[in-house]
Amino acid sequence: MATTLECALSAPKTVKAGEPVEVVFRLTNPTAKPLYVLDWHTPLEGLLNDIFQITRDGTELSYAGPMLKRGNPGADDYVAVAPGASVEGRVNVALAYDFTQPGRYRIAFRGRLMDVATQQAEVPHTLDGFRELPVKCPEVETSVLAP
Amino acid sequence: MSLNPRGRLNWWMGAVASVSLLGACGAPDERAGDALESNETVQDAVAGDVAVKLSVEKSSLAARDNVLVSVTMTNVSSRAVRLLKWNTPVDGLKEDLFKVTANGISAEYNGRHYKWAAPQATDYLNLAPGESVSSKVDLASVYDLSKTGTYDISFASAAHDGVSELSSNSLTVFIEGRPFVSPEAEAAPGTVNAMALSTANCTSSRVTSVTTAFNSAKTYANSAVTYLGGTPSATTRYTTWFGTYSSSGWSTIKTHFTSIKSAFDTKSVIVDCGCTDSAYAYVYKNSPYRIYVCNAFWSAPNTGTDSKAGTLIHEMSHFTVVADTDDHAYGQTAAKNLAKSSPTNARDNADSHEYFAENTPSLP
Repeated sequence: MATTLECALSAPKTVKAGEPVEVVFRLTNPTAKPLYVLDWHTPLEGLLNDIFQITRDGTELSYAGPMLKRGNPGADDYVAVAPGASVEGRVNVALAYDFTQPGRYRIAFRGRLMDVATQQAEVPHTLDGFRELPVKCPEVETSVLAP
Repeated sequence: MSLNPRGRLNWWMGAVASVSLLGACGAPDERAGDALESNETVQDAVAGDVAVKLSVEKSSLAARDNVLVSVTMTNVSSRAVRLLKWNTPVDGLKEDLFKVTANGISAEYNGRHYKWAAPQATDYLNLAPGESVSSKVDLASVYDLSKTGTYDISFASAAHDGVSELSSNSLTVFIEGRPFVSPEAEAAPGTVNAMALSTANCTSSRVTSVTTAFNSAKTYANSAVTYLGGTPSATTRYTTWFGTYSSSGWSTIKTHFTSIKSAFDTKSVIVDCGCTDSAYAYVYKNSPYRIYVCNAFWSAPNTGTDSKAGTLIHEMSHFTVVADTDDHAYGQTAAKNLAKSSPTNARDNADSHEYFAENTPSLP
């Protein structure tokens, strides 16, 4: 499947310790056909898994949010991305990763979409029919300042 | 202020009804007169005069968290205006002033409704041009937020006797479901079942089913530890779920199952039935040993592939202090593929542990 999606992350350059750290995740469909993206493990569904790799001054942070065991997805777990269009998800990563210490934080999306379909009629796929698609989102940096 | 609190009233179907009920009392004329005399220079706010902004400190709330929403009302007009306080949350929430929905379904308002008498001057909140007033309300104490999911929250007081509707931005918040407990009601006690297992928010039939699953999960953990205590080698069961054999890989998995068994045998595990998400279950990695079970759990068999007992193994493996696993792949097919493509990730994958423990169909 010659599909591709472009991914971009953005985050505030600086925040004060204790403030939210809102990361915007944007997927763009550069192809001429609509794509149907399972929102699991992406900020399109919120922060429900350890989807970011985050370091503070080089030390990896542990994830403290929820971890779900899931069965087959439903059709409403997919987000349609029209040709040339983008979809966005915003999450406050400070809810699940410890941003209370001042320092330089690097935030990377772990970099895959669990399932992407090219035909609306195909979705939802069952778990064993997923077509995973890696995406590369350039990582972003945020500095947390002492409050 | 003369209020006639009636508590929860079934006949009161929402804010729209309040207009006709007030009208039926014959109060509006009287009220309008009083209010005008005492507040000649302050006019009732009309649509667009007062901007309402909602905010929450956290956009993802665990069941133990309050759902505190800050409501800031700002007079953005160039004149002084007034609002009826009971259409605002300044004195606490006394009406169904919020629109709270999860996937388009409204959360039930279980808070107070009042039958309001004619307002006095003190029933109005006056706002000078540019002035703001903020207050905080805990929506969890008045709305039924028992469903886990993404909620849209906005302020939506309907028009009451001439004061036009106030509306706000819409907030999106992930809320972990929690049983609705009316502030007046006693908290329902959890059920303590055995030394190690207790339950929360479970009906008695669910307690029975969780207890059976818990005992089967213990059996799974024991069997896995026994199996891994044998001579390490590239067995079909090991390589199917964890990929290419190595003695260090085997030893990692043995350590994981020893911790899982120890947690089931010796820790105070709480199984919480309060989740109504479509998933099987979830945990917070750093909050051992509470396991939230959701809809798919109840339709799963007690043992076998993707069973209740296996789900408990899966969840137990996630806790940082147990095996600190992640979810790299869901389902048997993806777990088998993961074993082939990345044994390292397979050894860190919760479903791989579950399927190894369930061992269905049985592999040597």
